[in-house]
Amino acid sequence: MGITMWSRLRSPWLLHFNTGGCNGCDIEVLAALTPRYDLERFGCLLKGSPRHADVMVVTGPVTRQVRDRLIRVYEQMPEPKFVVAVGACACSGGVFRGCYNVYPGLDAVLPVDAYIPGCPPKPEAIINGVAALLAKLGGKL
Amino acid sequence: MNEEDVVSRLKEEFGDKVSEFKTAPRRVFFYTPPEHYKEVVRFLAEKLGFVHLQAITATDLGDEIEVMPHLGRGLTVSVRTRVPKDKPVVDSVVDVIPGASVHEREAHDMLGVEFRGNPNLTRILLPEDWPKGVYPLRREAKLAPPKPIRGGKE
Repeated sequence: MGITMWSRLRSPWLLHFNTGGCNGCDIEVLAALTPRYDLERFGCLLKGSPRHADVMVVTGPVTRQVRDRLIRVYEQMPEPKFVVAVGACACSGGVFRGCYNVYPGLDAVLPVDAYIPGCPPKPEAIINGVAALLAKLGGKL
Repeated sequence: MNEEDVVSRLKEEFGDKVSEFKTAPRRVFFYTPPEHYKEVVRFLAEKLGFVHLQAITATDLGDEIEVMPHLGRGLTVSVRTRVPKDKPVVDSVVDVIPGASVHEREAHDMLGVEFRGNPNLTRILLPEDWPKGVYPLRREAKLAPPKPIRGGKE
C-alpha cells in the first residue's frame, strides 16, 4: 500500500448531499458525526466543498429536478471518488418509488459503492456502512 | 372580526357575486366567479386586512379546476373560483399580494392554470426539461417514473 492510499483510507472526507429528502437521514448523518458516535475516529470529516471531498454521502430520493445538479457536484469531486447512498430513498426510491419525478434509486444516476438502508438508518448503521466502504477500498489494494 | 362579520361584509359589498358560503370555527369559504375573483381578493386584502396569503390551492374537479387562495388574519378566508379545464385562465393577484407569485407558479406548473397578469409565470417545481402541456396533478395524467440514465436495477 502506497502512502497516498494509506492516507486516503485514514482520512475519507465526506460531502453530504441531500437530493430532496425529508431531513430524517440528514439528522442521522449529523448525529453520526457528533462526538457521541464519533465518525471522526475513522478520519471522516464533513467538508463543504466537493473539491475537498472523497466520499459523497447522498440522502433523499433522486428527483428529476436535482439530477443535473447531483451529476455536476459529482463531477466536481476529484478522483478517486466514492458514493454512499444513505436511507431507503437514496437506495431504491423508498416510498417515492414509481413516482413520476423520482428515479428508482441513486444507482440509476451515479455509480454507488455502499448502500445503507433504513428509514432513517441509525448512526450505527451509517458508521457500519462507512467502515464497510473503507474495508472494501482497503481490500482492493 | 369574526366569521359572521366577514360573511356580512362580503355580502353587502358584492351582493350576488359571492355565494356558497360555508363557515367553520375560524374558517370562511365562499365561491366567486373568475371574473370577480381579483376584486374580491383585493377587497379582502385591502379593506378587511386579510393580507397574509397562506397558500393558493388548485384542484382538478374533472371538468373544472378550482383555484382557492387562503387569506388569513386570525381567521382564514378561502375564496373558491372555478375555471374550465380546457381554458383555465384566471386573473393574477400578484399586484395585490406580491407573495402570490410562487403559489401561482406552482399551480401553473402542476395543473396548468394560466394566471393573467403574473409577469414571471415560469417553472418552479418541475425540472426545466419537463415537456410543455403535461400537468402532473391533473386527473388524466398517467406519468411513468424517469428512465435510469445508467445501469442499475429496474
